Amino acid sequence: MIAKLTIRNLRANSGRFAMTTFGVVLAVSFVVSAFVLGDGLRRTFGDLTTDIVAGTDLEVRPLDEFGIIGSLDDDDVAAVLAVDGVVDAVGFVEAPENSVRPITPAGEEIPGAGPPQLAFSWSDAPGFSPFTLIEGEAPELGEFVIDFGSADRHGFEIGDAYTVLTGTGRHELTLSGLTRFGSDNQTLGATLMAMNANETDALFGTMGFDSIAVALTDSARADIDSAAALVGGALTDVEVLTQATIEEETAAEFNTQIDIIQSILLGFAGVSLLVSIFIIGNTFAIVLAQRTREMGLLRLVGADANQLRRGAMGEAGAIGLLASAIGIPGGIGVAAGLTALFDALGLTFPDYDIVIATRTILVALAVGVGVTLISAWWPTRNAARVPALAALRTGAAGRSETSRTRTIVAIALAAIGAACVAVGIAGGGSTTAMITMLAIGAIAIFGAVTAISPRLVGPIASAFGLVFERLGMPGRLAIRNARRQAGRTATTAAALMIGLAVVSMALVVGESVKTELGSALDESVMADYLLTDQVADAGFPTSVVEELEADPALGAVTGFRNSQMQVDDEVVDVTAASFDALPTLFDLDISEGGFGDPTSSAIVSRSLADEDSVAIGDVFAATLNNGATVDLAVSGIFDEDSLIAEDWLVDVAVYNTAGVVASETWIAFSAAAGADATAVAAAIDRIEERYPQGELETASEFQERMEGLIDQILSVLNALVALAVVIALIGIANTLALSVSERTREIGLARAVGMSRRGVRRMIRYESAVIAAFGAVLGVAMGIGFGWLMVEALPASFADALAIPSGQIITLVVIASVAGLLAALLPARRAGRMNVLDAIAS
Amino acid sequence: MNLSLQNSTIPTLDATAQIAASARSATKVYGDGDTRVTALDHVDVAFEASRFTAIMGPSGSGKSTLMHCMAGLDRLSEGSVFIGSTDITATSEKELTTLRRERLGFIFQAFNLIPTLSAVENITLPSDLAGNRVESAWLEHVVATVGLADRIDHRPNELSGGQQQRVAVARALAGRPELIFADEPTGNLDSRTGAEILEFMRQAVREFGQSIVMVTHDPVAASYADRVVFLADGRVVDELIDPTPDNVLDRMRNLGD
Ligand SMILES: Nc1ncnc2c1ncn2[C@@H]1O[C@H](COP(=O)(O)OP(=O)(O)OP(=O)(O)O)[C@@H](O)[C@H]1O
Ligand SMILES: [Mg+2]
Repeated sequence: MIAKLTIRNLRANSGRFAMTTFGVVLAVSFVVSAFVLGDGLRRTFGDLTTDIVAGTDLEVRPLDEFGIIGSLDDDDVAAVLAVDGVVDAVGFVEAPENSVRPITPAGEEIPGAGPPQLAFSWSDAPGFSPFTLIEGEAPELGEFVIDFGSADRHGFEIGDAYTVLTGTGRHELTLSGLTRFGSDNQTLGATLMAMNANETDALFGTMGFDSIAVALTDSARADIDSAAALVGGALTDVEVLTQATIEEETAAEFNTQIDIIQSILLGFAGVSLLVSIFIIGNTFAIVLAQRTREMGLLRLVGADANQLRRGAMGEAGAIGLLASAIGIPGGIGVAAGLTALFDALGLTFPDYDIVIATRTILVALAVGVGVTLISAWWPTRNAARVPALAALRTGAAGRSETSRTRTIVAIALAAIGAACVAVGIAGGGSTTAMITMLAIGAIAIFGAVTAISPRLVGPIASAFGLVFERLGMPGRLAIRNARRQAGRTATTAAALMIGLAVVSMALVVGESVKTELGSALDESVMADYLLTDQVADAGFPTSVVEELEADPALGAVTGFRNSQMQVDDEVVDVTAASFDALPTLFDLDISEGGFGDPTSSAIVSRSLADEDSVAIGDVFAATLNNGATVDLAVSGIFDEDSLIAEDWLVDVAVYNTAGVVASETWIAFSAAAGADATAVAAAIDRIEERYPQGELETASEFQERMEGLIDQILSVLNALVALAVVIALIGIANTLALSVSERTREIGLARAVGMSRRGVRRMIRYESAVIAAFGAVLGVAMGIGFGWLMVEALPASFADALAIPSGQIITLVVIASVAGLLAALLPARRAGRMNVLDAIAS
Repeated sequence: MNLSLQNSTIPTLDATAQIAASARSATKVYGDGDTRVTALDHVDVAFEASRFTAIMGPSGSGKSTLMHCMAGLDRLSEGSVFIGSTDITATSEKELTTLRRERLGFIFQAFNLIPTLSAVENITLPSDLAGNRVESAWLEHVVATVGLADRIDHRPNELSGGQQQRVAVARALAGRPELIFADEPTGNLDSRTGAEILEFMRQAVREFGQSIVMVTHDPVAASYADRVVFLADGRVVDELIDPTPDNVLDRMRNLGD
């Protein structure tokens, strides 16, 4: 019977629930698309991995340990070949990602921000190389090959010469052939090149091979571990990996990338779910409230609370099931759409199989049904408590105990939140620990605000009242309505509140980071130009600094060579600059000591000095990355850590003496005093011409670009939040539509005593605007609060003081309120169209 | 408070009759301070089994309150209520639910039916909720008695007000409860349709031995009962055995004084 009632109720309320399910459908779709895409890509890549490593039985690599500069050469290959059971061995080297970039026939670089550009040493040993030559010849000296997909895309022709930019400069290379990668050239949009193995060091700036691929005899392969030990024994400082391990490793690499795509989609799903919980909960509360008399009647004729609850939960379950059923094909659609989108963006997505795993279906159902049940739990619980007498009385509602529970919950959560925040800020732990603590605190506070928000409707609505009371009777009624059902107003607004809290937090943090960046650059950069490597992350050859120093039009020059060294058994980041040029180019705010002897001193950051109690005069025995040791005396402490992220700063002399090889990560220089402007311009042109991978900027251009990057990160976040806001607005529209039908008589009465259709419409629209503005104000207030906490948690070099982008925040509130007006369009029209007689008679 | 008056108004009962429900010193107070209302003031009353009893009195005299309290829908401030020999004054909400489901039936002036269920589904609703089946011969008999055989699959909104009340009567009868409470069951109906419903109720008492307690304002409706109990200001002030419209009207007029 209860089941029958459940079905009938679903049918009777189908329109009301349709909108509600939207958020769940969306969430389920994202979950499904994440899995479908991930599973499909994994299968495709799994096949590919098998292809690639098929012929390699063992792989030899230099040991990846601090103090060992690993490199393998032809002698090593020969040594491996001499091992018993080895059939063949070939050395391979790969250039740093994006460090080798061809200029296309159109005269342009392939954009560096897209899929990577990779270059390898060519080997045609069959079975070892993932490349198969499909046209032309293998590369001789001065030649290269490229995968046929990239050649098609950019118009490379065999026999033509092209400029290829590498870490060592510009090279003219002739295209000798086209290759296929794996069995069907699934490159995920990457550009794959290979050069003659005898000139890779000169082209890539590498030293010898990264790895040696080894093929074994069948008998040696049968005892792979002994074979590996034998090969390992022939060389020093190497590790030997078996095919199975390489395959796992390659798969793991692919998986991390697939996991990123998957996590983004799951993030979207999470936001949709979170917001949906509020909307579904609200719809249930309203629909069940409208059925109060019916519930009372059921109680009267003997239904117990459990039966009523089961019935209502059954409705929720059915809705969840339906949403999942729509969401599963929807997810496949989303996956297809994303693939198309990536393709349109030039990121050729591999053709992946559509894999619908049982796990995907189960998770989709669990998410769809689970979230609906969770959302419906509270309203259902309340509804099942309806007394039998409710059937006999019309105005039998209102339970004060609920609001008392809410208050208690709110206070408890606020206390937990405050405690976490206090511990997080005062605890002085690491940034991660701090942010974790603050995140827990923020969630607790968010819960507290959600619980207490019905209480806030009154005061905030009164404030809005100052505006709305001027809008005549419709405005006044709108405010009253919003206040009358404070709980509903608050829950409806909560969905919007979440979205806006996240956006405004991001805006506040972004603005604070930008402000800090701006002030750091303003105060401490005296250099005229900064040269940074925006493409390869491989930096510049050290010869660049020498060339710049030699240029008469230029003055002080310093590079920053980032590397690592070991101090007190700990591997730390270190950078080497010119102590000579540094003081005229930057003000590092050296608060204690100063520059010392270039060959044996170091300057350390304030944070290192404070945290590890390093003091001026302390001497550390440092092991550099090539194993050389040097005693470094701390001669100064610098406070300006926005520019130099490393804790240790030494002079280039330290590297040069010890023979440390490191490229210039970035370079700063100024024009020579009194230099001729045209001479400087010519010098600049030469640099830009010679190092197109570099971005040459003035300090303010650098600042603008960094701000642009921050904005870019924010805009990705905003896309996520826009989704939440859209769902929230649908929630507002749904709630209003429900409350219009609930208030049919009331609206009819208002019309009967002379309110115009327009007045009715305006009343509903204003009410919506009040709800939206309420959500926006609370959301923004919380967002600013959370933003402040984040700024406190972040190291001062990122963000020091809270900066509020008030213009953007005000725009946000206005947009949300206007969107609220739009959300009310349909419900308002419906209310306006209501027939007065019908409304009163119903 | 005049104790002697209360003693003098204890209704006389047929000593041999079984008691379907009774109240002892039932008192119900609503609100506090300025808004304090004593809806029932030490009411002692008993309703015999297999009898049709009417409760009458001016508006606000406590009729509905008495009925709600006796049916376990609302709790007394003081005193006790018995269904048969069971004291329900302090029973749990859960037990009251079972009690309603198994031993009581209800008919109201309006909103008796679940709009999404058909007539027959509404009739069998209490048994279905209890997990019992209504014996089909009995169901047919009840449905035939109230004259609904051809309307059985219609939804409430497809039935007239009179037909809806008949469905409500059939539902109350279908589970053969010990006692049916009816609050102005004919209040919304024209006199002819009302007479039909009242006739069914009387028939149920005569033929099936059903016990019914009905609240009404209408002397004609009250005359269908075996006995009328009069309430005024939350107290039982009078009663009448084998009422006729005329003598009920007479007593009513006297109550006003
Ligand atoms: N929930 C309540 N809260 C406060 N007072 C109430 C409540 N229910 C009833 N009353 C009061 O108790 C008194 C008795 O009400 P009751 O509904 O029992 O009267 P009634 O005899 O059924 O009247 P009517 O013939 O108009 O239906 C009235 O004064 C009424 O105002
Ligand atoms: Mg009444």
